[in-house]
Amino acid sequence: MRGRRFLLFALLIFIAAGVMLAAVGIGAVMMPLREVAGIIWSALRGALSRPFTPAETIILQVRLPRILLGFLIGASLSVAGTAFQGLLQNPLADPYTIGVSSGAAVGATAAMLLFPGAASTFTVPLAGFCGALLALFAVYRLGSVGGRLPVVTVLLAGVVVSSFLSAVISLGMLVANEQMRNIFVWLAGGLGQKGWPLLLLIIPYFIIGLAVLIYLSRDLNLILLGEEDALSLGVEVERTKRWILVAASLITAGAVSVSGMIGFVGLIVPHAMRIIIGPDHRYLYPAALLGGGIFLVAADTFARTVIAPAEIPVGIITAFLGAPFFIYLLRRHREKYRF
Amino acid sequence: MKKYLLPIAVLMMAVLLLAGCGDNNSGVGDDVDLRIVSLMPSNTEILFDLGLEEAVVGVTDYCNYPPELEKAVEEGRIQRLGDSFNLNEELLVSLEPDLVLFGFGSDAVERLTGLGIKSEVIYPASLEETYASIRRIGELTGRQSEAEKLAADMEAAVDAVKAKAEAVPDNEKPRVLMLLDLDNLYVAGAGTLENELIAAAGGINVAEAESYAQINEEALIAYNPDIILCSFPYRDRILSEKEAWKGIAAVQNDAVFDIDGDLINRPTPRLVQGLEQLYGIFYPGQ
Repeated sequence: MRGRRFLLFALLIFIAAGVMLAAVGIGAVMMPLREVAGIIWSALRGALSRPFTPAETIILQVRLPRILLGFLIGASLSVAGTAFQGLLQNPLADPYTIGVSSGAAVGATAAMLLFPGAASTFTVPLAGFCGALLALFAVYRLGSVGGRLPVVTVLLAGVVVSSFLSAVISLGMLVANEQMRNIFVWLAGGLGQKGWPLLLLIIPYFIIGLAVLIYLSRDLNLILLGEEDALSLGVEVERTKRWILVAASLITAGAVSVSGMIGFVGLIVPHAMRIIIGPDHRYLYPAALLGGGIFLVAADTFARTVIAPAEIPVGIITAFLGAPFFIYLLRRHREKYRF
Repeated sequence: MKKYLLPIAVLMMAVLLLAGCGDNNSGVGDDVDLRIVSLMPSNTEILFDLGLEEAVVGVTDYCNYPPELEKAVEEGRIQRLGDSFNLNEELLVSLEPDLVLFGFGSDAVERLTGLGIKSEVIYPASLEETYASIRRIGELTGRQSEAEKLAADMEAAVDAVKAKAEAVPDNEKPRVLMLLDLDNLYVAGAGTLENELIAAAGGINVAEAESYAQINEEALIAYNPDIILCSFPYRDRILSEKEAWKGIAAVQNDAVFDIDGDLINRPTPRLVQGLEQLYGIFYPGQ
């Protein structure tokens, strides 16, 4: 069992590296791996002179940050989705169920309406992040009953906050007119034109959130066996649930503030990894991280290449790729599937 | 009471008869009492160019030219009807128009025709179609001679610029990118008015997309255009925010220009101004 798991992780890491390397050479402008490697090597040595050639610019300032961002966002959404599915004890939960992403969307929409053509690239993501935190606060307050976080009330609170905020966004789009397309495109989610600064912005949130979640992974396993049983085994159930909620929301807030709501990743990848690795969260989180990263990088590479120079919104690709793959996994491992 | 019956009856009949007269149902083509609603800024401009200011009773919120239009709206002679996507049909019908010019097809066209209001979709996608649309509007409103002159003058001005541009050999023509949206990288590709104007002004449109398309940042950098045109004021943002664009020829040679999108996107005689501006940008000092 241990050996098999080790092999699986090794395979996942290998695939992740492979997909990212391939992605750097694929795009609207195809480049052979040798040229790509040469450019990266020269950049690391500091041997490139400004201004960069178009090829250098594409690799270093457009594609590399985009691929890394794609991996990070895919990992974030998958890890957060895994956490929410465990916390809410619901296989249909994803990072967007809890309403945090709608909060981010409201913040971003407000920023786009109030500061059209915002000079700073940080305005929209920061506003989105604030909105996400406000939504989390609302859900937390609504979902708490006597200092505890009953799963059902948290879920309902999330759905309520999510619906209300979606209505607010629709109202915003109605008022928007000129900005409507910008808002719509942002909501659909995308990885284009983000650049290095935004990537570096969300890395801390991801690392902190991930650390908390992995620290609590054994406790979550026990909680899923029954809250009473977990309590008697010494797990501080309510405290653990609170921390998981905050950590997963933090990760989601960071991801959605930068790249909008890319669907399917946070829902499907945890399930796929559960089928492959099993429901033990100590291994599920890392697997989801790798699986989500691979999935989104692959989907985004496809999205930005197949009808080049035009782009397909990546959310459409994740839906098209995700559903059949999941059906395949489900059929093959039907009897092995445990939640 | 009875003795008042006859005078009252006579009075009522008189009122009804008078109401029946003064019927404003003048047919299309008789421009004296014509009431026209325009649901597209380009058609509004053409109507004003043809001297039909008095006939226009309704426009969209986006109709912003000529300046006389604003005055007429303030004085209440012309009503703003929102935008053509969320049309307030009740308001439109209450204006009792004889002619409604749409900018794109929708079920509203059939509905209005069913109500007996002449409706037509006029939205040209090329210079040729623009000349034809001017003539068509002239036909619909009984201003054929003015329309003919307007179209002919426009065509002559355009041909004058085209002649100058054609004299330039292809390898000396600047490679141009027309950017419509900076955050989502929308460009004008083949088959658009902007594309036609760029070619007519002696430029080469680098965007290989069809119609208005969203392109990849990589593709934009790979195109490496000599000139970037922005239909909104993006120049400052491009120069300050876009690290990755610093190597592009247009940015290197300070050839990023903000132009008034209305002059190159609206199918009206003002396209001539846009065309001349483009020629001035592509071949400064000629």
